[in-house]
Amino acid sequence: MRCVPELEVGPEERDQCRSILQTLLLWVVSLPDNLRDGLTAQEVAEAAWLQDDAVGATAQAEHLLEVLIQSGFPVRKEKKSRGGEEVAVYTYETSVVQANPVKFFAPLKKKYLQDLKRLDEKWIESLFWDVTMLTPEAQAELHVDGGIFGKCAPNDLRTQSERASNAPIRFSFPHRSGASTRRVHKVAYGGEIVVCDHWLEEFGEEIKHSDQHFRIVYICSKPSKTDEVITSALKDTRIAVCHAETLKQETRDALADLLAAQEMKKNCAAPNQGSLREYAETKHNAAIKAILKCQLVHRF
Amino acid sequence: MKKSSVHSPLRLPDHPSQQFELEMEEVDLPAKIAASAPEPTGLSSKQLSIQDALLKEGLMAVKLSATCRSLADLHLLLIDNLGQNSLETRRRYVQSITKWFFPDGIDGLLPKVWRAYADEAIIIDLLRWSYLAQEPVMGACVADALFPLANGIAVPPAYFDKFLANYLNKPPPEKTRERLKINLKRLGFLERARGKPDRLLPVIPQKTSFLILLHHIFAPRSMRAVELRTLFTNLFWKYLGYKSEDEVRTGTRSRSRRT
Repeated sequence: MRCVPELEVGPEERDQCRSILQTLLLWVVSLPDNLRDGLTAQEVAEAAWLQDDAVGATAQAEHLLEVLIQSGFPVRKEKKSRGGEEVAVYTYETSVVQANPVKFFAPLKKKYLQDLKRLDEKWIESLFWDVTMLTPEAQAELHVDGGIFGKCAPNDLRTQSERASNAPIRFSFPHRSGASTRRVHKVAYGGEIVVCDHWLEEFGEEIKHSDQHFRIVYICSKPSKTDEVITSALKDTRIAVCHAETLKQETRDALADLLAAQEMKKNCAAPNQGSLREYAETKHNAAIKAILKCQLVHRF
Repeated sequence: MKKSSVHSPLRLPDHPSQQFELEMEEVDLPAKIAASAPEPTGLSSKQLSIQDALLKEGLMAVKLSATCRSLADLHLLLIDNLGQNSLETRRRYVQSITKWFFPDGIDGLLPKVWRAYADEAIIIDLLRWSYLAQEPVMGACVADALFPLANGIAVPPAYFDKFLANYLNKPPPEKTRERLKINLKRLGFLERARGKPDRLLPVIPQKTSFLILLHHIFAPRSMRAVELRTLFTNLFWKYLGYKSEDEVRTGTRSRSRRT
């Protein structure tokens, strides 16, 4: 009941929500388990003395019960047969999982630890993070402004709705960008950086542009080809190829933490789940720092 | 091996990357585009130049407005009271001040709030909101580029340039790049010190400012219920300085309990 003030409804409706919750709770504690069959919206409206001249008490009860369910209140809706007709009945959920954040977080982490493909995708995404992903603490401690390839991030091909639903990033690979060495005796050598998630034969082709003096190819995930095959495909001595190895368990742990925290934040969006979101946020920030540390320590 | 001179197109900015020995090539940023163009009072969509945010002058104007009957009176008073030597500059400033802070006239929100509260802290919050609401590029910068950053973060040198290049769809002029940062400092969002990276500062608005704007934007004529999701779609809370929806939600709850 303490969370009722957080509901996004008007003051009068908030009082009605409180009455509904009180009615459902009294009903559930006053009957043994086997006699609880739930209350219909009409019964709730009558028992809670709801009044609404505009839409009628029953419709108002239905509306507020939906609001309560969507806002994460412990109200359960079930379809039951009453007199041969299927109706929705509502009960106060007494066995609801308490707001222990670990109970939300742990199953999600377990799920993601088993999803190696998603972990690999998240790893590639993390390589291109920018400063918006960082906390000041992580920035100060690690001396970074994002992922190790943050400055040469490819375009994100996701649609707006895919972004909103936190779908995995789809990068436009291979991504090529210009680079140059630092100035040495007033001279800088220009070259090319190529980032891709797999090896392509074209990366090994001879550098033809006269202003390009090197090509560095970063393969973000472990390529299917062996080092010998890749080396034999290099047709110019000014090409270097760096590739990632299989992720270490420590990195996978951090990636699973991040994915679980992101999903938990999304799942716990109800107004009364602020403490769960805070927990998820803490986990999220810690995971980002851990992933960036893995990038710096393990490198390529 | 051929050598390319430092003047080659592949030349990079002076700031060394912390993670790469090699410098990644950022967007080439020609410094002179539109630098000599006349400065209009504000930015129409995708305009290249930005004018200084005149918050100090705006505060003075709001105070002076209490004694004025019309905007014309205020214009005359401002032209007399602004500190700039050039009459042309004062006239231009008056135009900007009117556009940013008196869009609803001499009896608009800011003069009314000053007459009711006479509180500089509240007026400064409202000046910030009003300016950002009237200046699209600055508003977008606060809502899109600054909002996702955590308070206290050191902003990389190219971050705002990248935002401007994306927003304008072309490389931003040097003057615009610099003015954007100066204005963010004036608005209280950015700490700038010589030889150090720009740092994002927390902007803590007055609770009263939030309430005033809430009523002004959502219930200008009469009482009504506003869903939080509707409230969040308006950027005013970001302009005020709030960093998360939860912060607004908590604040709204504590205020509604008190009232």
